Amino acid sequence: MTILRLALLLFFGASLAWSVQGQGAARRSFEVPYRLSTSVHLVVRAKVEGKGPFNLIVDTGAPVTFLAEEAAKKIGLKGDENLWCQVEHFELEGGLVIPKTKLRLETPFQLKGMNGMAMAGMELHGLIGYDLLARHRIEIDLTRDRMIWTPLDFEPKRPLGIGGKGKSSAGGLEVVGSIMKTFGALMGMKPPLPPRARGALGLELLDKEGQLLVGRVFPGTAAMQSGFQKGDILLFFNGQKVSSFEALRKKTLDTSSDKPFSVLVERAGKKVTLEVSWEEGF
Amino acid sequence: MKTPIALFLVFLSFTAALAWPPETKPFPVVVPMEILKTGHIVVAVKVNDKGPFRLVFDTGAPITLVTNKLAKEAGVSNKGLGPTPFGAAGQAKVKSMRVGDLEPVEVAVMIMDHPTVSAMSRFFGPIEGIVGHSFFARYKVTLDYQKEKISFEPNGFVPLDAVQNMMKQLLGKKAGPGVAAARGYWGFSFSTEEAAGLKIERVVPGGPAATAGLVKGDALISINERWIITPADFLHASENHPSGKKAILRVLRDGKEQQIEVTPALGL
Repeated sequence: MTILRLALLLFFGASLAWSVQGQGAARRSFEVPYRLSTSVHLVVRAKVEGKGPFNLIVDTGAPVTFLAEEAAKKIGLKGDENLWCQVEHFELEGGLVIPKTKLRLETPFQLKGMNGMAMAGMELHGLIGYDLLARHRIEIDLTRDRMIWTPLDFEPKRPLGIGGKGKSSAGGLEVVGSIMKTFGALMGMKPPLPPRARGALGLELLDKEGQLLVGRVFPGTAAMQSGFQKGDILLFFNGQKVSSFEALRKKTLDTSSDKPFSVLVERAGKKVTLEVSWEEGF
Repeated sequence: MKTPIALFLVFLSFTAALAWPPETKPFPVVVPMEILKTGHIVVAVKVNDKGPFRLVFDTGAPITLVTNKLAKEAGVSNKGLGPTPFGAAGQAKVKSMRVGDLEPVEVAVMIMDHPTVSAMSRFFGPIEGIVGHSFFARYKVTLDYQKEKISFEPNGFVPLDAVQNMMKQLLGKKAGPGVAAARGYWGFSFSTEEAAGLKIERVVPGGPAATAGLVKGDALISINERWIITPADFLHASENHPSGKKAILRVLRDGKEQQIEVTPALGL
């Protein structure tokens, strides 16, 4: 537990130097989708020179923007002797394009540790730091699934480094990163697999005063094969009472993709049990 | 004159909040952001009515951290976990933490002298910690580096515990991948071959996708500006898109990009 907690502090002040030029883009706001990682980091996706996407943490605690070495290699980016690389096209999901920006092609030890232990629940490829963040007004609201980024006509000052070149400012915390990586590798820790798709039936429903009615049965679908008919009232799904669409949808996530389940419907005053299986699709 | 007016406003909103809690809209509190030469943001924070202390505002920090010095001055006590690396004295609860005129809130913190914080203090004057997710998640936060201001507006979000989350993930691993589904019925399926993006394999006749004009062979690029690269991306986007609401799809058809508006139906 303590190591996890310590590890959470790692992102702070990731290595230091300076960078950045760039032109002010048109002043329009962009809705940038993000995900909250398991480690509660704000993660956005970016394409660099059209390649990717890469998962980057929005980190006001990082002075510059980092892209992990492996990711850089995949794109074919090469850094100068100080690991800097000028990129022409940096795009955030949501449509925000940042032209001509400098990236530091380096895997901060924090990322190594986090990825080594799969702490974030996803592979992380870098950090977006001050040099890029400061060129925008950024609205973060965790009750929404998107942030709002508005490019500013503003050139932030270059961030200064504490300590000389090649010197650490993390005061030995780097060790935690490599401990975590080794530990994670020993334990075989990997990010969780992406979720499996439930499947579809081909059924349009109507939610009428707490009753779910079949509105349409699409031809050639699993719903038609199972014998659903327009006007059927859904009573029980897989042995559980159906109350609302949202509740029903949640119950459907507990079903297996290859085993049939039962749906009890009311049709013309009679109760009918249907045997139903999912088909591929949405 | 200013102070009595401000006080009066505070009282007013306070009483209003008591009388009609659901209707009272919390107002944003705007505070200055100090930008250090390293690019870090520093905000003034009061802890247990002591201070203000200068803390780094860090969206990359899942937890909030205070130095041993702050803990001592503001009477923040830990549970006494014994000596830990980097002077980390474990978790503690701060009874009252606030920025500007925000209502004080209780925040879980870690007491620790972070080496980077100590280094920064030497260069830029005393800095006593890091404000992370456990504090800022409960606000809609707007950062404006140009105006050097941060605004906070309570949003009702309850901060998450990163450590608990990660333990859950570690323990839940054996259960296998989760199951996800769109919130509505779209009426199409993807090809299982993933050569050139996600190609649409089947469009259900009369379904929402067919009605919108989606055809077999279309390759999905994005939904409402969310990139669709893997089936998991589509699942995530469609999970977040309610039925009955128009979605803007960008697809590649015969080498040309097209925009198609699909309204998923309530259904399965």
